[in-house]
Amino acid sequence: MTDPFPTVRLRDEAERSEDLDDLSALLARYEQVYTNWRREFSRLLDESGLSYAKLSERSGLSRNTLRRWCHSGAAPRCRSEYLRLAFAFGMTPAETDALLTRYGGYPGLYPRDRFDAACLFLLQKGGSRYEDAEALYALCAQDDQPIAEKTTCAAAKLRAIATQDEFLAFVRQSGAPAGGHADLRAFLESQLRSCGLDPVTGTSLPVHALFCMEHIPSRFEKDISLLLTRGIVPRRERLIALGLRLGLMTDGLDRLLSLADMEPLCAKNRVECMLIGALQQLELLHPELALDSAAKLLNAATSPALSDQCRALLSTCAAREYRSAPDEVDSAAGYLRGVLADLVPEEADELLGFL
Amino acid sequence: MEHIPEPLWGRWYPGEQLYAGESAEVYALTLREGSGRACVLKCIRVPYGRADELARVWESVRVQERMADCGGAVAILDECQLEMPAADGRPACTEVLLRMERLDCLAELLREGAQFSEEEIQRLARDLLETLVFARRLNLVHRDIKPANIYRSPSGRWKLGDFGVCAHTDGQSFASAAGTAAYMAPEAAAGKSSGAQEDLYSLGIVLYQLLNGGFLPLTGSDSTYAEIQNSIAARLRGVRVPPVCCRSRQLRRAVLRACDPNPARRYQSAAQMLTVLTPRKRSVLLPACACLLALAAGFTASRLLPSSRRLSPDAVSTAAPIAAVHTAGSDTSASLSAPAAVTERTEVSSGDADVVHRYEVILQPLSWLDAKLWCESRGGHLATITSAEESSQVTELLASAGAQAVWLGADNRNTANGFTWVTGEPFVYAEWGKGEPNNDGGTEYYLMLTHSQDEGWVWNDSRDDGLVLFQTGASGFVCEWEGDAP
Repeated sequence: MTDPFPTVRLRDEAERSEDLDDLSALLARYEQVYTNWRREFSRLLDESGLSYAKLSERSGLSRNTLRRWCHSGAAPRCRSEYLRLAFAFGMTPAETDALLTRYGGYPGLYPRDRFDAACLFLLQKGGSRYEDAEALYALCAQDDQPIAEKTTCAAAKLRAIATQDEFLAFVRQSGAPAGGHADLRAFLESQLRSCGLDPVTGTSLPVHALFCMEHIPSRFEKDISLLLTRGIVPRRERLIALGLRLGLMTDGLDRLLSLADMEPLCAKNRVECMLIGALQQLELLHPELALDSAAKLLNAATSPALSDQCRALLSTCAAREYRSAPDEVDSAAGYLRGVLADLVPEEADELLGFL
Repeated sequence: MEHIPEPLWGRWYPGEQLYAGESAEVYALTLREGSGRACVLKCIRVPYGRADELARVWESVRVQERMADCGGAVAILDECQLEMPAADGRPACTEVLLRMERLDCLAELLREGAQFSEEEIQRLARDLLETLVFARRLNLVHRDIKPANIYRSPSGRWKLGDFGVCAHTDGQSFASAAGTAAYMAPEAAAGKSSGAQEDLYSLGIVLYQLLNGGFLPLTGSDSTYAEIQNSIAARLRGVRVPPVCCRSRQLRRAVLRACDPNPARRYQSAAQMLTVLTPRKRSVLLPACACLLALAAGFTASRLLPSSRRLSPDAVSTAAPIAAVHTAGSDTSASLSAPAAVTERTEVSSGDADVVHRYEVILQPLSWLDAKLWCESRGGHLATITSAEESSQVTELLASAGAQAVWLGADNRNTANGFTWVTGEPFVYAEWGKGEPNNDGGTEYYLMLTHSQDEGWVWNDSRDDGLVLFQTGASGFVCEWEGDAP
C-alpha cells in the first residue's frame, strides 16, 4: 500500500503555509498522520500478536511499563528500551534505526561503537534477545584497541560477518575508536567558530565564553563536550535546540541531523512540522536571520552542493534587497519559542525546555 | 481533569485516566456516593475555531448514538460541550465530553493474553454482523473494524466503537483518512471502496486472528517485524489467506470467504454471513433435544416445534423435569454469556388459561438497553405488567430474590405519547410512585420497578443507567417468556 500522506508532501505543505493559522490548520488536518509513540507501539504490539506477558518476557521490560506505553502516551526513557523492543519484535538494523531516531530521538546504530556493533551484528542475524548483545559487548569490551575505521567500511564489514568468532576478531582487529562522528564534530566546531568570531580581531571566542555571551544554557556546553571528547551524540531534540541556538535555519538543521545519523527535520512529527513551517516564515519575514545562517553554513559547509546552495541564497537576498518585517526578532530560537508555546505547547515541552 | 467542573452531569466524578490519545482522553467515571457500575468519560479536544472539525466529531457521536439503538455500539449516556480557556483567558479549545458505558476492549483483552473459545468467537461474529446489518439500514460503513474498536459488555455482548472514520455508502463521507492497514480490505487500500464489504473483510481478519491464537493471517509467534509487514503487504496486494485451524467447518469457511481478496467472492452482505453463522434449530432432527433446550430457555415445546412434529404430552412430561434440572444446574450454553447473577424463576398462568408466563429475575445492573437485548437474545423480552395480578406475581418473585430495583419492558424514548410496552401491548395499567413519571433531567425514558419503605413496589421513570444508584446484587431486570400451555 502506498503511503497516502508521504512525508515529502507534508513538508511541502508546511513550507508553503503562509502564517501561523495556516500551520495550525495543517496540524489539525493531518492529526492522524503524525508520528505518535502510543499509536506506534500499539500497532507493533497488536500486529505481532504478542501479549504483554510474552513481550515482557522477550524484552525484559515490565508489563506495567508496556501497559503505560499503550494507554497513557508515556514513552521509553532511554535508548536501551528502544533497543530491547527492536530485539523483541525481530527488527532489522534499518528498522531499529527508524525506531531509535523517529520515536526516541536517538542516533541510529553506529557501526564504530562497540555496543552498537554488537547490536547490529545480532539484529542482522535475527537475534531476539537484547541480553545477547550485552553479553557480546562484554566480550568485546575486554579488547580495548581503538583503531579507527571509516563508518561505511565498518558497516560493510559487519554485514559480511557470519559468526560470533568472526565478529570478535573484527572488533579485535579494528577496535572501536574513542569518540566518533568526526564530520558532526567538525561541523559543530566550525559553527561555534563562526558564532564566536570577533569581527575586530578575527579570533574565535572559547566555547564557554561564547555560550555565556549568547546566554546559551550550560547543558549544551556539556553536550558539546561529550560529543567532542567521547563521541556521544545528543538526543534529537537537544541537537535541534542547539542548532537553533547557533542560528541554524532549515538547511543547517537538516545538515546537522544527517551528520548525527538522524533523519532530516521530519514533517510527520508535529513539532518538527511546526518548526519547518515557522522557520520558512521566519526566513521570509526576517531574511537577515536567513542570511546570517547561510553565511555561517557556507563557512562550515564541506559539500560543494551545500556551499552552492548557500551562495545562491546569499546572492538572491542581496539582489532582491529583501527587507525585514517591522516586528523585532532577536533570534530564530526566540521566535520559535513563542510559536511552539502557542501552537504545540504539550508536544514541544522538551524542546521548549532547551530553547 | 482539574479544568472540568465537578460533578459532571450533576453527580459523576472523573477518576483515573484510562487512556490518553492525541486528541482524546478517557477517564473512569464514578458516583462518589455509591459503588455502582462505573462509566467512562471520553474527552475529545478540538482546537478553538475549528468549526468543521467540531461538526465532524458531533456527527460521529450522532452516528454512534443511532448505532447504539440496536445495542451494537458503545452507548453514549450523556454528552456536553465545554469551551476551555487558555492561561491568558482566551478560548483555547472546545472539549466534547461523552459519558459512555465502560466495556472491555478486545485489543486490550488480547494484549492481556485472553484466549477465546470458538463459541465465543462465533458469538462475537454474530453480534458484530447484527450491528453491520443495522448499519446497512442506515447506509453506513464503519471502515475501521479492528480489535481496538471492538468491545465486550458485562453481559457478553460484543459492540463496535469509534465511528470517527465511518462513511455513508451513498458516497457522502465525513472523514478523510480511514482504516488500519492490517485489517484493511485490498480494494480499500487501493482506493476503490466496495462499501459494506470492506467491513466484512476487516471482520473476517479479526475472526481469523482470534482463531489463530491472536496472530494475524500468514504470521505466527516467531514472525519477525519484516515478515509481519510483508504478510500485510501481500494481503493488500490480493494474496489469499490459508484456511485457519478451527473445529467448526462452517466458521472456518465463513472466515475464509469473508477474507477473500476479491470482494465479488465475499459474502454480499452482513445479513448473508449472519445467516451462515446463525445456528440452525435442530428441532426437526432431534425433537427431544429441542424440547429440553426450549424448556430450559423458557419456551413451551409446542411453541418451538412445528405442529406436525409436536411431542406427545408424555414426552413433554418426561423432558420437563430433566430440563428443570438442566436449567438449575450446569447450563453451559447460558454460562457462556449470561451475567453472573442470582436468578429467581417462576412460571405463572395468566388470565388466559392457554398462555403461560415465565418470569426470571436477573440481578445484574445492566443498562436498560443491555437488559432488553439480554432477554431478546434468549427468545424473551423484558417483563410487561398489564394487570394487578401480573404485578403481584412479579413483585412476589422480586421479594423472594431480594431485589430492590429492576427494569421492566417499557420506555418512551422514541414516542410522543408516553410509555409503550416492548411487546406492543396497550399501556393501560400503571403503578407509578408519587410524582412519577417526572422525566427528571430530560433523559428518564425507561421503566423501573423499585421498592421503598413508604410506598412498597412502585414504578419510576429512569435513565438508561439508573440501576447504578442501587446496591449491586439487589438490582437487575425481569425477563419474560410466554407461550401456549402444553
